[in-house]
Amino acid sequence: MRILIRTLEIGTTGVAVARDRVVDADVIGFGRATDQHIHCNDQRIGLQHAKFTRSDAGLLLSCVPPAQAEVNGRLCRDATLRVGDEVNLGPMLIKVLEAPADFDAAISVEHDSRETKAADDAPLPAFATSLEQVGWRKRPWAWAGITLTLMFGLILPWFFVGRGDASAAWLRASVLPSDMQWTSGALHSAHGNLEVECEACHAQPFRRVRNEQCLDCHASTLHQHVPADHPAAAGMTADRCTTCHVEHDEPSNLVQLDTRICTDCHTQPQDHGAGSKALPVTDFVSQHPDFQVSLLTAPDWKVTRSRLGESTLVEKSNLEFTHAAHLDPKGIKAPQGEVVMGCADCHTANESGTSFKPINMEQHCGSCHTLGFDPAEPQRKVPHGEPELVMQTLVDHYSRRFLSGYSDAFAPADGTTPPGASLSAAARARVLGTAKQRANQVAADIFERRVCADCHTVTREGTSAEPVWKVAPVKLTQTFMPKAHFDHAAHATGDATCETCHAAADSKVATDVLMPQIKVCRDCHGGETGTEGGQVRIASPCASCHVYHDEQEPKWVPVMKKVIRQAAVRE
Amino acid sequence: MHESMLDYAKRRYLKIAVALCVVSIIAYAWHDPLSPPNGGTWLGYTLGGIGAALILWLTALGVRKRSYSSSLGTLRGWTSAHIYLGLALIVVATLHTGFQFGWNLHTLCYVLMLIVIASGIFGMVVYLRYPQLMSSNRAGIKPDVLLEEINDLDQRALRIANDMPRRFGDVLRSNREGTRVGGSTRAILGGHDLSTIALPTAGGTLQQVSNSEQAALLDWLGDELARSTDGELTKRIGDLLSVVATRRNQLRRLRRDAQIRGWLEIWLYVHVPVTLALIGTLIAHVVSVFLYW
Repeated sequence: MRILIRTLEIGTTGVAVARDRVVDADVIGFGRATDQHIHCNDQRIGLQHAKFTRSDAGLLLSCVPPAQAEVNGRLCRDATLRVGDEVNLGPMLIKVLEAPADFDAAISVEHDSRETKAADDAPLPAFATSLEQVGWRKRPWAWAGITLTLMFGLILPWFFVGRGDASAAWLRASVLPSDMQWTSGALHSAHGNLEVECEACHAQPFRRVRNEQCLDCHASTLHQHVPADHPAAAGMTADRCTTCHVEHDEPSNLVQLDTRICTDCHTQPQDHGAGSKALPVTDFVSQHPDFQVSLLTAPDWKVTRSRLGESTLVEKSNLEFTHAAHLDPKGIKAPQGEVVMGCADCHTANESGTSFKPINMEQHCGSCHTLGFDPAEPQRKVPHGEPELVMQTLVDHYSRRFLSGYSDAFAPADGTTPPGASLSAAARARVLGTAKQRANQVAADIFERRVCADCHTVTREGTSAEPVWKVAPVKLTQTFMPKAHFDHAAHATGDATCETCHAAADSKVATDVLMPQIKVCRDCHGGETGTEGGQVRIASPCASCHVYHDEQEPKWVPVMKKVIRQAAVRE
Repeated sequence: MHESMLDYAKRRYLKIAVALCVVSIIAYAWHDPLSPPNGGTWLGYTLGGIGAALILWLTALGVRKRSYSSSLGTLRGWTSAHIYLGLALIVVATLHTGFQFGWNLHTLCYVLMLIVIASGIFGMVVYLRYPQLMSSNRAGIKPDVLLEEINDLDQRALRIANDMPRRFGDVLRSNREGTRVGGSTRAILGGHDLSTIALPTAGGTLQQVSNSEQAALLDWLGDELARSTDGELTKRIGDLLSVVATRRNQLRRLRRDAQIRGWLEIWLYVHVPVTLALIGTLIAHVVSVFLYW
């Protein structure tokens, strides 16, 4: 098909310019693609929108679906065109012209004037198709987000805290967000009174909590942690309290129970400055030395530390006593007859039940071991004290009695005074001499045979006329294991008795040390987790028995008690 | 085949992110501090530092995205890293907390971070799926061209109605005015058609009715067609039906396009503002923990 295509364009001068071109092809293409014969760069036009072919009836228009064309004002997809027909294709108006000689067809292509007019008249429909058009905004919310969080999360509390006056407290009491929002976890209940007083510890901004803040309440030295001669003591002044005592954690963990606090050094204590006596410890079960006991030893009562189990330990208290005799299940002879005794008759628990009150002769022994000496006056007793006082009591007693005319079977016949008689000085001296003699006689009896000697080691010195007795002093060890805490009350469980740990009934000498060895504890107590050695036992980290503090009561304890008392009064 | 942002550079950033998570988890499991695990141990500070640096760096994607002239890596590379390292942040930040949460600024910071990441995951899913749906719906025609076409169809319909009884022109003009695409958040995201049209009633008055999917107009034209006895009028009504049906299809595409674009964007209205709130909270978190060291 040989076709004449006349393109009409409005030139820059406003005059229509016609440009003819001849195309020789079977199919004349119309579309947006650049290879089309009639090219129309409009988005509404498909790449291949329509094509013109020749038929016997004339020029044939066929649109490529879904494209459509408007032929003489009617929409259609295919049409046979005759001269004078007008085809609207998007912005283009194509007219069919009379074909000149030698041509099969002729068309003119021009811009549709109605198109321009219609487009000018009718603005595009305004649809709100994007989120922004229906009111969504990022920027204001983003600004609000960063501004509000910085303002209320940081600047406002910081400003009020920085004023250093009552402003911070005011803010905390108000509904506004205060520095309380910075609390990463609750304080330990011991610090509960500081909960709303951040500056009590956080004294200076951007400075770590210093020891001074701790010591405001907790005494004036750090040596309370370990004895001053402990190898770790030097480090105590350099370290910060909060290295170990970490607050605001959950769960609250102010006091470290982690065994590493101890085993970091004690696994190989010599590497950390300890003496050769310090034995390695890793765990209560895996590696822990046998217990050591502190024994008071006569005559100077120096405390000696001895390890249980190494050899038979001997406690030199100077007391003559056996547990076995006192705990005889058949009973023991007492002034009131046969008495069956139990441990608690002498070992009475202290107020908290953790330990026992000291053994006291008058209270615990006196009811059986009476100090009477004169059957005629059984209520009269010698004091439990120095031998001189005993002698004095005896001399006084017998002087009074002989001077008042009393006589007993043992008294010398001429050494007494009849009742009511007045004595000459010589007679009085004779009577007193007799009394002294009698006192010596009784003293020898109670010191060496009956009363004192039951429990004490007594030696006789002086002359036969002026005998002097010496009683070896007695001191009982009150705390055998001062380096560890043990709560007796906590162990009174199940069918546990004193005998479970202390083999008292078999103890036939006073020098026996009845403290249990570590293996007794290990029956129930495990190490840090309690699962060591394939057995499930009570988890027992170091701090179960040992404290990190000095043997003496830490200095902050009374201070703390005072603080708590004051707080209670305030409330 | 098109390489998605997830597969960028043979999943280089996936490997980096997984490595970061694995190292963090192993370190956390191995680390056994005296106090309960928390942000203040050496590992806590390390994880916190990595987390904060990640947050700031991930936010920088928003800056890089706008900087077309940047030669600092490809945008696809940045997006790939943004996704994988953003997901890794969940692990790093959670371990940083030591699983200690409470009603405080620090947990707020963590929660905001999770909201940002969750919205980001949503965004990633729609970005992987919706652009394909969008281009298949558009079929190469941009929405503004669709608008022009709809405008064109309107003009064409009005031209057809010029030679028809007056009511046709009135109804078509009413249709043009009452046509809606989007119009509200619900309509955009749900793809609902809120269009209305004023149709003449038997009594001669006009009644505003819903014209969703051009159904009311097509029904009305159908009725007119059935009633028409005039051959020329019948032909023209047939033309109008064809134009309106095409118009309905184009509107449908436009609406679907708006819907897809809506879902592609909506998460950003959470992601971006909450990111900024997160950065504010993060600054407050970091400053406050050292302010009260």
